[in-house]
Amino acid sequence: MKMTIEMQLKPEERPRVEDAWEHLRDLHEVLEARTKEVARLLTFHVVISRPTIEEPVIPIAKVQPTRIVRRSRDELQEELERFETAYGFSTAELIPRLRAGEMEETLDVRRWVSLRAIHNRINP
Amino acid sequence: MPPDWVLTAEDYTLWVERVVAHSGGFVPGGLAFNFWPATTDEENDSQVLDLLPCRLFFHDGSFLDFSLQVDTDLSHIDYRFHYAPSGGGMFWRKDMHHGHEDDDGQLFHIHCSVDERRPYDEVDVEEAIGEALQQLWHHPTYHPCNDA
Repeated sequence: MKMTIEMQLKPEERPRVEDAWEHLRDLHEVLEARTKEVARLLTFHVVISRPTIEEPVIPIAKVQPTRIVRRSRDELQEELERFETAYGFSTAELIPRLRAGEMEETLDVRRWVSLRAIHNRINP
Repeated sequence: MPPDWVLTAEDYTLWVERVVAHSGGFVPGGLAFNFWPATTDEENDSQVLDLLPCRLFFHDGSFLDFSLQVDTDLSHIDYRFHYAPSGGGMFWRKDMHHGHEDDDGQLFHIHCSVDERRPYDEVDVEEAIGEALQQLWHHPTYHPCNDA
């Protein structure tokens, strides 16, 4: 389901990015009154325009629906094996290597740490 | 802590959605959650929640990279909140993970800079985003490490 919302800025409002974000925030206030199920089904296109006919309508944001996937234990195992193939050692060695300063705590590495934490939770 | 109405992992996803929405920021591609099995017991269908890494952009171009995992009781297993200026780099990063507990005596810490880490209180997604907004509004006079 797609909902398009068009907003006209008031003449005294300057068409700044900050204004657009304020409108988006207001929009979310409105959404909160809706049921969560409906909110999840909707895709929003927010269009904010100025009251001057010369200016094109500017699409500023598309709020994507949240994605939720239910994974299996085998899929987690496959993810961890992908790490081992790429790095040449098991995720079990990640924390010791981070602790020893042998690896930088990058976003990618942290993702594997998180998956390892989940794996440890399942297989303590 | 999540509000009282957050009773299940599904509620938790909605709470995160709302917190992100209220921040005024924008996550390209939207939020993505994985549910992983919580036990090896085939009969037990309880699941842990995994928020995949995402980037929340604010209007000034600064952004918060974050991910988190919560257990069946909705307590944190692991998290990462990294707030950065528009050009990249780091204002601060609040982490919960194994690796520094021998030094810190706990899993929660903050990286005040690339070279400085301190023990820090546990934070949830609402507090971390709120902290980023505090810094956004009051930069450069505000920094969470000033209070740590």
